[in-house]
Amino acid sequence: MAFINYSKREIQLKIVYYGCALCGKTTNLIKLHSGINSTQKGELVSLATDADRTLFFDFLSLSTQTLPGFDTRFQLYTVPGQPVYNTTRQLVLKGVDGIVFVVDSHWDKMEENVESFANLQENLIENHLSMAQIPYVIQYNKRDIENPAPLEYLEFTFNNRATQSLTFEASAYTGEGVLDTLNGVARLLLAKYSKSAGNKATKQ
Amino acid sequence: MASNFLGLFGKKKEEVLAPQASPTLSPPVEEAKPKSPPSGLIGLPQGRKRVTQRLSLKGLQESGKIAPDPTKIQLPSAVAPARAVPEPVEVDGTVDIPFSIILNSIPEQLLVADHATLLVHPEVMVQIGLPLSHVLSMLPSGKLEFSLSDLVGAIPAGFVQPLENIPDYAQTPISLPLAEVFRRIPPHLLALRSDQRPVDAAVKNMVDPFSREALEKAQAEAKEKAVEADTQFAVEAEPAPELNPEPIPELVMEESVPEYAPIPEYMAPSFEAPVEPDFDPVMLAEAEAALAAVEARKAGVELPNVYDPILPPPPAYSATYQQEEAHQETPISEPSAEANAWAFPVSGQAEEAAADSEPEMDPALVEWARKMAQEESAAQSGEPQLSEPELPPYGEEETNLGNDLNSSLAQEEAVNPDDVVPPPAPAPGAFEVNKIGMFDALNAPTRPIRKPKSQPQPPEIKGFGSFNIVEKSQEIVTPVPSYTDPSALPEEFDQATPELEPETEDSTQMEPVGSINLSSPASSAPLLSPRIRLSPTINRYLSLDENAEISFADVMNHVRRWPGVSGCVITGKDGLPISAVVDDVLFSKSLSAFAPKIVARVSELFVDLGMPEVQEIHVPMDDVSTFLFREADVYFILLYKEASLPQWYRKVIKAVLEEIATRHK
Repeated sequence: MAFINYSKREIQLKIVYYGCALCGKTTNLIKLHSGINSTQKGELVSLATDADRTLFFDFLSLSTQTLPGFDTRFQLYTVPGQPVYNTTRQLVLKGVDGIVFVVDSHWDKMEENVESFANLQENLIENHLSMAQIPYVIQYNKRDIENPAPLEYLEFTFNNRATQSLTFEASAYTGEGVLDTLNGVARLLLAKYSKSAGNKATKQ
Repeated sequence: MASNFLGLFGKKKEEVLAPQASPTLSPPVEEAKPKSPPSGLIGLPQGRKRVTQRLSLKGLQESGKIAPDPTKIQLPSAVAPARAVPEPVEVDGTVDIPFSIILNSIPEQLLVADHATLLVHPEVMVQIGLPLSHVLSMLPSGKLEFSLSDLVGAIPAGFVQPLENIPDYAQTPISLPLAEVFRRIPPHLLALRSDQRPVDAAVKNMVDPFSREALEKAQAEAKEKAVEADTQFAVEAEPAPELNPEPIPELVMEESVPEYAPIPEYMAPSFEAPVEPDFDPVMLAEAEAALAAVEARKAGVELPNVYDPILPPPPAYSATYQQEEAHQETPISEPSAEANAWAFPVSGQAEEAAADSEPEMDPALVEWARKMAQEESAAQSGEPQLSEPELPPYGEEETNLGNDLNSSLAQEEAVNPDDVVPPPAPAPGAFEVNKIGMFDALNAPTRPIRKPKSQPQPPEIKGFGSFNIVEKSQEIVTPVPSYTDPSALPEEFDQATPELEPETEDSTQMEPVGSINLSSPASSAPLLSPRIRLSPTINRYLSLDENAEISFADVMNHVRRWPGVSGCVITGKDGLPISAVVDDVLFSKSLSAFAPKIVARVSELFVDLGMPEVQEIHVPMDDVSTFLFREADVYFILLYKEASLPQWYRKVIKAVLEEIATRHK
């Protein structure tokens, strides 16, 4: 849930980068950390193993002032993609406001992508949430590889739900599409909370 | 050569696709019962039969529900997501792919020969038709699998071993390359669902929070701020610039002052005597009189006795004089009325004034005035004595003035102690006046903590606090989890990090993760009983009935109500608060998390120094001091507004802690 501090005029929103192992979640955060102005970001905290595999989670805090009068702070998390760390993923998903599902465009990773997507749905249910409640975007990562899975297939597989979600082609390694993805999910969140604030104001 | 089975499989361009049978009408496929694994799979046995099998759509769909494949790595059941059961898609037709692709997907141990041998066979170029319904239903799962028994009926014979020889592998899923299959699927079949709702337009039209323009703008602002900060810093660092004022023109009165008309007399300023409001005018007048007497005596002029009142009280006189002279024009050259009033009067005026003035004057006051006059004259002459010409030779009788001075001095020395007003006694609790002049805070006496007689007296650390030391017989459990002790780790942590190995020298990167204090109520769970009957002593301490059953919350609420206590927390060795009464919840959690670590760390340092472990830590602060108590695995943190904790508080806390620790054990 979003944390709104009215005294500090600050909104904290939690965005989780979800996806299968080695799909590029941490790379997304690294690129964001290197590409965003230092006044808007905090330190990138990463708990990784020797092989640079995310062991617990990565964390990056970004702030912006899109909502008038409020300093909006986006707290970006990643989850360990390896299947055995499901408990960690459940913990990281607690209190999530928005999700970026990162899809590896390798054909060989399609099954893992789908399993990870199913795992995301299950873990949301564990947290008494659902995909219909949480704003999420899909990032088709690694579009710069040779023979990536075509967009038609990715859309058919991951974005064939009742509500069409925002999708972004990206190459986190080069940084392409990384910012667009973040903007997409940030827009979803801001629109959601702007609407809720507007509804509350109307009721009052 | 495999034939077309109900139009589901078939060779491309050889046969026309037959209409598919209804899945409900299709006979079920008999599944081969698993038997013991065959001893030899490689090689085509002599006289093998070509196995043909009728396949149906239903059969294919059922084949999706496959048994666990021993050749595949199975994920843990608790973690593995539920596999999506492909829903049947009512689409007729097939997707044709070369047999070579299927052949490459079949494990070699199921073939009659290795891949290289079989791929040179001309039949591998035959197109195999895969049912579109099955393919489309499998697409969202990210894989395309068929059971071996399904494929065997469709592919040319002579490549795969007969199923009779490999019955256990009949249902083994064969994953076909998704990319190869997908590119052969007609694009119109990959359309998204028609009832899909688009994304909200408000989202699309919203300004990007992290757009490049916004980033550039933020960077530009940051640069501007940095430049401003640097400039301001430079300005502050530079010495103040010397003022370079314009040269002041010389004042030439003759030239610069214009010629004015002569000031009328009524507009001329009147010269008034200097006003000294802080000085008693009577005393001043008497002092002046005494001084004048001295001067007159020097000059050989006879003056009236200085003890006689010679001056009227100036305010009354001044007021009267001003009233009388209010309408008189005073020439500028003459002194003003007030100046006259303060001037020493001539004898005749003095007598008249004496008649109007008060008849009696305080002799002590006049004496003081004389003394002042003597001192002043002595200072002016640079000699200690008052009037040198009148001093008799050394050893002769002193002057009256000298006698008077000596007598006054003697009177001062012989002051009656009863007449002296004693200084006010300090109020109880007030600070005493420091006679040293500077208060040494570090060396100030601290109130030592009273320890049991059996324990050694703790060392006092000036400026920080005092440590209560216990014997090392009490075992301290370090709250930092250790990989060598899996039980010390919370259960969730175990699940989250199953790959953690026992700590080795190379596993230094694991340390930060291990230091993460994951919330786990495991170690604190025994302490969370709702209401218990503590010892009667504790109940008496807490002003409760001796047999009353209380909870930790009751204890904490009682402690919180003590005067000066601003909060208290009971925590376990895992750093989780058992009970806390602190206004700031986050602060209470921080206290709980760090208290065991602080005590453990200090104890560790003390043990390294060859000293006993620490049982209490007092951290005095200016506003709120923190007092940490430990008993076994239970910690009590008290926030108190004074630097020193009352002994009674400590006694009760220790008793409560002992009780809790005993019950915890």
